[in-house]
Amino acid sequence: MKTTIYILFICLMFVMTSCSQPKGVTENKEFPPIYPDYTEVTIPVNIAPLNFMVRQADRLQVVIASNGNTIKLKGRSRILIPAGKWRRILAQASTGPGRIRVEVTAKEDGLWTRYAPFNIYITPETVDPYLSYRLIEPGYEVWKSLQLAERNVETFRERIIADNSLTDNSCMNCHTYGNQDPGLSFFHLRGPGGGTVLNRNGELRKININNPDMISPVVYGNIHPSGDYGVFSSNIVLPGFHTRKGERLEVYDSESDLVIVDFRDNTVTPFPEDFPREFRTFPVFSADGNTVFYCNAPQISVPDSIYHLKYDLLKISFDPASGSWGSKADTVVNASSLGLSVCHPKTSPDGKYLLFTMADYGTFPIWHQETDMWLLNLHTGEISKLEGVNSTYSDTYHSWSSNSKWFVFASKRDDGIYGTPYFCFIDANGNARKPFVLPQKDPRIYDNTLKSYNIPELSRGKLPFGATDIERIYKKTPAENVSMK
Amino acid sequence: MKQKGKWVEWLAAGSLTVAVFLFFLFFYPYHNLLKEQMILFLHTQDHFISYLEKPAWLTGYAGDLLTQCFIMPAGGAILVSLSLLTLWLLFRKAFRSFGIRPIVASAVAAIPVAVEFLFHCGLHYPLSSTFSTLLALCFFLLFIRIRNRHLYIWLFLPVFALLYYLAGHGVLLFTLLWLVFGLIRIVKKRFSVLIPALLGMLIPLLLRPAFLLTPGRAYTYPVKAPLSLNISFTWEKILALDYHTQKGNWFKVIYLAQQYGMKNRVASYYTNLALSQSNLLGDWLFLFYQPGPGALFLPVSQQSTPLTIAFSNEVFFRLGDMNMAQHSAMLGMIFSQNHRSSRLTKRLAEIHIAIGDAPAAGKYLGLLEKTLFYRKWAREHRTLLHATDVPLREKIPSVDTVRLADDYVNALEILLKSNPTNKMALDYLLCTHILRKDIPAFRETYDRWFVRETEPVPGVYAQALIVSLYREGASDDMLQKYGIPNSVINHFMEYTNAYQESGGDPEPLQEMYGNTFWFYYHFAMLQE
Repeated sequence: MKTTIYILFICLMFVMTSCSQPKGVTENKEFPPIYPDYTEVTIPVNIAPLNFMVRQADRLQVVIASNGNTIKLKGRSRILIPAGKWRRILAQASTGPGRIRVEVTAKEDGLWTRYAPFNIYITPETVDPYLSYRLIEPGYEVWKSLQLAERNVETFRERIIADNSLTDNSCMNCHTYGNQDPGLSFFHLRGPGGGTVLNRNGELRKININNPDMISPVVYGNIHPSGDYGVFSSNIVLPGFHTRKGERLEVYDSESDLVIVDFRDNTVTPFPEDFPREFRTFPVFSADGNTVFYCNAPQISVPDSIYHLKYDLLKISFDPASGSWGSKADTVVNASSLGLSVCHPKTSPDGKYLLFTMADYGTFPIWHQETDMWLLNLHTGEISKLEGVNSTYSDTYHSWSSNSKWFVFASKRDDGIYGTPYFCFIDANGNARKPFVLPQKDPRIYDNTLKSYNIPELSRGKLPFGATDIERIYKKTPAENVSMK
Repeated sequence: MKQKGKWVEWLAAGSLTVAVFLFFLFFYPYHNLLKEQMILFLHTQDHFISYLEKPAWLTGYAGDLLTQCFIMPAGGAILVSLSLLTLWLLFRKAFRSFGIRPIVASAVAAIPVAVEFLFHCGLHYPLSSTFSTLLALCFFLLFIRIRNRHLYIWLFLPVFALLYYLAGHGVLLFTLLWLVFGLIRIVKKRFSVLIPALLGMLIPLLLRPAFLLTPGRAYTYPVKAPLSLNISFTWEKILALDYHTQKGNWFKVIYLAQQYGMKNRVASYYTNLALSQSNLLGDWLFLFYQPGPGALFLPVSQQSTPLTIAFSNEVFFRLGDMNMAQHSAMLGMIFSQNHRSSRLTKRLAEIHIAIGDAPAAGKYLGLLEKTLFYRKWAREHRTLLHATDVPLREKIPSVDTVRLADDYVNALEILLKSNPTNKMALDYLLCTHILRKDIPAFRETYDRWFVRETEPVPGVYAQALIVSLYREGASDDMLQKYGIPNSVINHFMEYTNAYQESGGDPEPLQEMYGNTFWFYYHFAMLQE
């Protein structure tokens, strides 16, 4: 009996060892077809493990190596990297060679293939550890299920910070930080109990930023570095549908203008009246808070002339002491002369860059496949299209990390419909590296989800409120009103 | 005598089970077929994990897993009838534990089963809800084996919490039964069971922040409103038309529409679609109920119901209006019970294959490949991802413009401009004008797009044309040029005389002319 067990054990060991070493491996000089595409990307040292998969593989063997340290992993069609080992190898690589090398051997249709090893470049400059986004089905005109979520990018932990099933299924707009500060943020909650929810270190206020003298309740906005002011656009937003294939939804403004809101006394300062009536939207403060950048276009008839609707990037001074607008606006990027339209300007916290997107026309680039990101160096005035970052689908809705080394943006590059958050590193010379998608514990999530990760925004820390706080403020707290200055 | 009573009970239960099975198989199959279409059950780890994030994960997962079998009418009929039989058996056993006589227990047990049966006749009631009730009964029947009074009381709260996580609203029934049994059989001091029961009822409220549920939903999960407690043969008939439309059984749809004779906008929508696909719309339009131009399209707006949104893509898709088809399919999915639908995922895959958008189509096919019953379909359709000769592609407009969602006339004109041979778009445009009673627009469209040489003038179009020509005092030559048959001209004259004689009263005209455009023109009240 003992002998039999011994022989069986030897056979089992033989089978196990023969399984562990692939035989008849063919070499492939191309990078492996991994999803997400993490080949030759640059990542921060504090990012969660880049778990990936090879969709067609039956078996996978992966070696991750750096500076003599290796992690050997196996999987069926996906590779899940242990967090501890990942952190250690990244820490060593960031202080050493600055990269890790990944070799993938895959069994596909019964045959083993060893693909060309690829690098993942590691920077010691960290990305802000928290990311907020709105999870929404890409319908836009009508909604049912909306959630604002916060994800720790160093781990895989995701937390819901607002859920519209708790607020009478009301619409909620995306969450925006001031200075990437978790203690300073806002989002708009629509519906009967709605208002702009302003978070100051966990103390939540609900302000109804609307007035008969305004075009509409506020839409796009940004918080002043002091936290005392907000600059917002007030827009009448209309949806329309394209007829040609490939084009989808068009969302445009029939009217839009800007306002400054003083959160201390809830007063609203409209845009100076001596400017011509034009479309003004997507306002943001400069890093020092003395300027407002915004997108501006002449008022034309929409939707009939929508293809001629081209926004330029303008700036106007702002006096934080008095909370008043300047008297002169300057053109920063004359996009219309290039036949393009500017959207979503975002200044880097160090004041060096302004990141924006350009589409062929209009003001809703998320459904414009041609939408690309551009970078303006505010010190030199140099503008560059981020060629290595942009894809053939829409790349937009970006947000800076507090160290101005990283930005995150929503890209539809995977399937053209569902947006996912990508991170991109800007090196000391202002060059953008190949971006990578937010890693997930299970890399199949992006394949299986029917939600877009809408308007991702980075933050230095965890938000001090949760979904039940938002439910409470929606149902129980009366909204504060504003008055016009 | 006792043995005979038992036989009678079993015979009645068996007969009723067979009756329920036959009812759902032959008389009421389409509700169950729809329920299957409105879920998208993925055999993946993350899909399983998504159930763990809410209460009733076990019954929810099991219910949805088995709801996939509703794809076959027999699957739905078997599962519902067996679930109800099991429910009756467990209720009967539970009532007997209270000391009720067997025959009475059997009769009383039939009451909740009848209610459950009526719930299943609704449009949205999930199988998982029945499973929640079943699991609650199982827990109760296990619980009453505990004869130790202290254990009976002290174990209640942990079991309540566990059952809530496994079966959601089942805890309400469990608590009720536990309370009654405790009061009857276990304790003498009422407060010793009342207090744990009350504390238990607080558990869903305490846990609801973790599950992100409203107070109401915390107690009713996994059931979602709206619920109905009636057998709706109106909806069953509409769903029959919907089902056969999806299968492309156009003559069956027309046949059923004729049999049903429904005065319902959604029924008219499907009937008109079937008529257009059978090239009969221009002839048979007024053989069926027409509530107005709204019988051609179902709107996608905040006033729409989730089901009509889900149905609205059928016409857009066949017209070749792929952007609107995509929009309505996407919204249909958003508004479905779990915001996922196998039917609409399939449609989205078809739309993107037609457009030639391989990455998007691949996304939806990838999802369907992870299902049990759509895997094969998805794999077959992968071969079309890069195909060039895809049906419907030639119908998609090549010109671009931005239009409003409900601007159907503009959309149809754009489809025709891109492809003048799009017969369905022409029929729909002409019929939109006819149903709006807009004779000048009809005439303009007819003159511009209708190719007279290749086909005779369809009856309804001839009826509308003669009104237009009559108004402008057209000559006989003109009538001949338009190819209007003499029979239509004579019929029109007869109608005109009859109309004048009737003094505007529709009653005497109904039988003879009720199926004509002229009668519709004079008497129909338009519904938008």
